[in-house]
Amino acid sequence: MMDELDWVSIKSGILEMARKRGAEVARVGDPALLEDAEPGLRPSDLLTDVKSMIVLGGAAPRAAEWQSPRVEVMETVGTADRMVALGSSVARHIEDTYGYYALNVPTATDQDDKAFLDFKAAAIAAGAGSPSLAGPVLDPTYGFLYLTVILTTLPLPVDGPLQEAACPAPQCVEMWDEKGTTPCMAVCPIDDGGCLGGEIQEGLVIKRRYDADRCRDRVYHYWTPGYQAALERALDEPDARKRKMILYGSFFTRTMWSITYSGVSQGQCFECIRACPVGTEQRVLI
Amino acid sequence: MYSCMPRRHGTAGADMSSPIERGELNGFHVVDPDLYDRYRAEVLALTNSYQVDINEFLPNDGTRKRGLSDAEIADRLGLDIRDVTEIRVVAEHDEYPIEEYEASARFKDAAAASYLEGGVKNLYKGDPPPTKR
Repeated sequence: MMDELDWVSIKSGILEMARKRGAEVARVGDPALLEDAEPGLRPSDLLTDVKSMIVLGGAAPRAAEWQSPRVEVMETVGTADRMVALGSSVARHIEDTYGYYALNVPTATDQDDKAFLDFKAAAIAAGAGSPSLAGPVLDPTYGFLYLTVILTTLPLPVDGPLQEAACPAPQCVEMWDEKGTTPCMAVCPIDDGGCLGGEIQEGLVIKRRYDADRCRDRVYHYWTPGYQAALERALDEPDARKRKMILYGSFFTRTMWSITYSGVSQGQCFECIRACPVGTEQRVLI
Repeated sequence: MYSCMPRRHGTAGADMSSPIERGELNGFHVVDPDLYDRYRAEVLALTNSYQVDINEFLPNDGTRKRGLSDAEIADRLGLDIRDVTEIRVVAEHDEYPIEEYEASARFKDAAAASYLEGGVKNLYKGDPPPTKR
């Protein structure tokens, strides 16, 4: 009976459902391609007998948000919540309709402060984007997107990785040839207080350097890392009145708002992607 | 059952295979500050904290490398995996002081302003955006 099922049509139906509900990108990848990840971060560690990875991308900041003169606006629009909800919906649909296991991979952190799965690797394996020098997976049309991954025992035909990478974009190669840098590296140079470094050789990125800890402090500026740093300073402060100034002050207060409304501010630095040419056509409005 | 756990991930010779011991990984474990100070740099150097050439651009023929897992670091340094996890998590958040957050705010202000002055195209042809000091 199972052999008679039209897997192509089933896959098409699932991905079309995801697109109608807000996914800009919907692809299927082979989970075996992630088996060389570190133990604990492989699809088979999360779902035994996993056969397919459905990767959905969407919910990027709106064009107006990118254009806002207030960087604080961008600090509040970074959230994967919509994609997580969509992923749960797709997983439920698969289990209810076809009777196969489907797991929406948690986007929270695991007990060791790591992700449950390498979402970037999953997206690359499925062709839901390609790697970038800046870090995020970039879809050639839409650029940066938030991702969700559904692991399932449903044996869907895979899409596979993209044949052509979005990064480096032609404009970036041109800038590299002229100035020895790219938009993302120009904005955030690792050798000048930033997070990114690398070179372009024959159209490929090589010698990429990335300061993950500095990037984390910027992306989670007024979230858990910022909260911890401010709390440490408060606890170290011997003067009770000054402690109070820290705890009731604007920085600590803002971290508390971000933490408690955690669905609102998950990503608080987008400057490398703001400057990135991939997907900018989507952001040019009236 | 615990396929994500390698056979040797504690101190040399230890073998965590029972459900109770597996649960200890989720418990409240505080690393000794002296141990943290002693191994902080070594542990971070083996993780994805500062990445050099471990990206997906490189061919998957052995050229591409990844940071080590906590279990692998524990094996290499002869430490308890729980200590490695705590050293790594603390160090990742301890790498930059609170002053970095002000630098971050200045950076984002300057980057956004530069972008708005000329849009993306400006960065292709103009000078890199200034950063306030």
